[in-house]
Amino acid sequence: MNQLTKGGDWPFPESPADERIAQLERRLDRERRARLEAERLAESGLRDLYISRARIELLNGISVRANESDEPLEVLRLAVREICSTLGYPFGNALIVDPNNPRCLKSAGIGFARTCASADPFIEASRTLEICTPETATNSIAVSHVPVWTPGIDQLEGFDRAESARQASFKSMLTVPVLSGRDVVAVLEFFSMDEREPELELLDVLLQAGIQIGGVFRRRSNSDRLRESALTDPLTSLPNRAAFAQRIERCFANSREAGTPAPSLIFIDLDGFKLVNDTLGHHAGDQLLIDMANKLRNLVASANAFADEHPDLCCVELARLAGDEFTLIVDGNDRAELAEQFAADIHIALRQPQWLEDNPVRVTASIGIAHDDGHYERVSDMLRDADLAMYEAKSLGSERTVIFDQKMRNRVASRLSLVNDLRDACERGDFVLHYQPILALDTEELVGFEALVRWVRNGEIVSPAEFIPAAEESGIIAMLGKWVLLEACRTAVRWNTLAPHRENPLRISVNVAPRQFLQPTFVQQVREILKETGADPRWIALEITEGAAITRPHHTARALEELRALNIQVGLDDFGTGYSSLSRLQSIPIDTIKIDQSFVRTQTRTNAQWSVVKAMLDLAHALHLRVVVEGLETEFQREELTSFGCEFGQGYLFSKPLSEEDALELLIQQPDGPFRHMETLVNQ
Amino acid sequence: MKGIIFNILEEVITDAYGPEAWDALICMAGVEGAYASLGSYPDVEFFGLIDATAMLTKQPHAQVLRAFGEAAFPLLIERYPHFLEGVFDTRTFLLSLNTIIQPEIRKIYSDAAYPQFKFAIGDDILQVGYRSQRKLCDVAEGFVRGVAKHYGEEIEVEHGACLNNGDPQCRLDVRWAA
Repeated sequence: MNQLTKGGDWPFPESPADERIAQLERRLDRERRARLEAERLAESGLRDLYISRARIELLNGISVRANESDEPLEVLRLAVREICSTLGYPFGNALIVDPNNPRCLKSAGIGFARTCASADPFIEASRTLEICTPETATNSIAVSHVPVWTPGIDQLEGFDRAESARQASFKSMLTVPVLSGRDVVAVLEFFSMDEREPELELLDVLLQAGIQIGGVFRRRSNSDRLRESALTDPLTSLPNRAAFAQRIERCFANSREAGTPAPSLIFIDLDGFKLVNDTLGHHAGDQLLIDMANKLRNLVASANAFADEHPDLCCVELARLAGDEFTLIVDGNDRAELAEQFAADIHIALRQPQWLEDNPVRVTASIGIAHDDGHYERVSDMLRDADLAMYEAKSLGSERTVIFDQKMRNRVASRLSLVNDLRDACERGDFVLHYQPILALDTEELVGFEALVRWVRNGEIVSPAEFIPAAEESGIIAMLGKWVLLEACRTAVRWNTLAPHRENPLRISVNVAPRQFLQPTFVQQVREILKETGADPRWIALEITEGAAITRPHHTARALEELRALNIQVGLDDFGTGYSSLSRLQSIPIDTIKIDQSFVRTQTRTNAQWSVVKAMLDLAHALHLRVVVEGLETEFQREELTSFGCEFGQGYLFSKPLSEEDALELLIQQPDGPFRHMETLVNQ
Repeated sequence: MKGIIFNILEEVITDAYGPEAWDALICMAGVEGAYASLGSYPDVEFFGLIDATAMLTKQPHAQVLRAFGEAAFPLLIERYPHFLEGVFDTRTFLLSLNTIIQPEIRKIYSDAAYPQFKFAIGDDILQVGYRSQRKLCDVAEGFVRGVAKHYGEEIEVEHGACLNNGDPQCRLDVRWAA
């Protein structure tokens, strides 16, 4: 009956008692072995669990830190410490691949040690380690792309640290590469006192850790590259303006701190660059800049080669500021002499013509230099002075070097003080008007005056050529122009009151500066002055320049219409010198044009060339504009112009500009006409 | 105390005196006697069993502990042979107590209380510092002897400072015969 059911009959007879005991002991022994086996399985499971959890935590900790940090060394330090602590290595060390020499590994100075004093020599050797000869077996291990375990390092031939490893009782080494893409950027090495081979799974975890740490290196090198490109001029690969600004700021601050002179500054501007750009195209222009950069680079390199041996003597840095502007920072004991020598060398280097697209091109440079005399408080002042010197060089012609000096400083200072004085003079009214008569060319009848401003500075008359440019540059011209108009109106009122019955009103022409005319409130200003002085608008003529008229055509058109509506005559000054084509005259609502004196003054009986003037006159007459010529000096000119039908003129032929008193005298002396009764009036 | 220690003690006693001796000790100490290696059991049960052993074998308490330590080593190695991987002498093994054995024990018995060891290395001497709540320095001393026996080395162990005498830690000076 072989049925295995519960309560089935056991077919064999019961054994005797001692046999039973032996059976029970065997059963007990089986149970015991089964228990041990179960415990062994459980322990092994626990151990595996523990190990994989610890590895995951290790990898996770390193990954989190690697993702958070931008500092490769910080992450290396953490990784070495964590791996040592988790895996029980008494010593770990980090080596970094030299970015300039990928075959060279250097200790990063990062280590983790939990060792006794006997390991000190080994640790010291590891911390100062530099491996640059990758021929030996050990070094080829170091740059492997996977973790490598090496036993018996205390006996290993070719392993420099074998002797100290023996002292430290280190027996085996595990190297872990830090990978950025395919490149090994660093190597972690861990040392152990035992020679148990690490499991493959552990090596895999460490490989992953190395890849995670490599990410920090990659991010850092990307951000370095970004930072570098923000500071590099893409065309020439030279440092750009931002890099230059940082550099010079730092140099200047350092030198001020140390109480030593700041480096000398050289500003270089190419003279023929715009011409190359315009005639040969931007491609040629770019090539020219690249060649220029290379020439400067070579000069700097040869200077700095010398500097390697004598760093205190010379250190030169080059940058491209913008367009065709380059700059050099020259430091060292002989910086002044060196900077000037550099400028000379640059001129010489540029004498060699360049071939741009089969065209021989010769450019020259204008160079400005500023040396620190210890008086600069701000680096911006020094930059400004180097720039000023460069402009000064440019104004002297090509291929010039100008060193900023006290005289230039004085000139700048005197221009500044001129502007200040001018402003004060405006407030005090230290100006007078002179009046140049305007006559009808055919009858020589006096029809009016041009009001010309003069500055009475410390009792002396200053000519407009000396202060008008400064007034225009500083914006004082608007204030001054307003004063001139006001004063001219007052004079017009005085003179016309003296001759109330004059047939044609005596008109005073007033020059209006572009800046003044372009003010939105200009017409309003004129209205107020007329109201304040009580001047009849017909007594005033305003002269604006072509430049002002075409700068903002809409404003011009509206302003001129409004002025004409007030019955004020408007004329175009200096006609022929500006930009407007003759046809443009049609669209500008004016009454007169004044032909610039340059068209008249040079015309003599022997070489008269009137064609341009004739054309201007024909056009003006076609547009019903009256014409005034200025700069009349000879009777010949007057006769000719009269014969062409030119109506009015002014110039030394008739009279130089007169003071108000002299002008009044002239009015009184008019032989006939409406002024003849004035003499009695004045003399009463 | 982890069950594994009780298991090892049982093996030591059974090997020396037979299975009935262990039954008698269980009975005398008044303990349950069912110990699973991964479980944790009150320290007093271990000390109760040691006391019973000392009484039944008429040996001093400390000597029982030393004998236990010495006999325990080969039994542990039987269970955990990987502890000895790459270790070929007593000195190396002892120096691995903190760096290898302890981490290994942690992997299995994460809550085990593990004694602190400190080492000072000389040419022919290894000083082992021992500190533990349980003050089982005699077991440690026996254990060191067991290690040397395993490697066939002749050593002398001098148990100087002792926790049981009120010192802050025990010091075992291990010397090798010239």
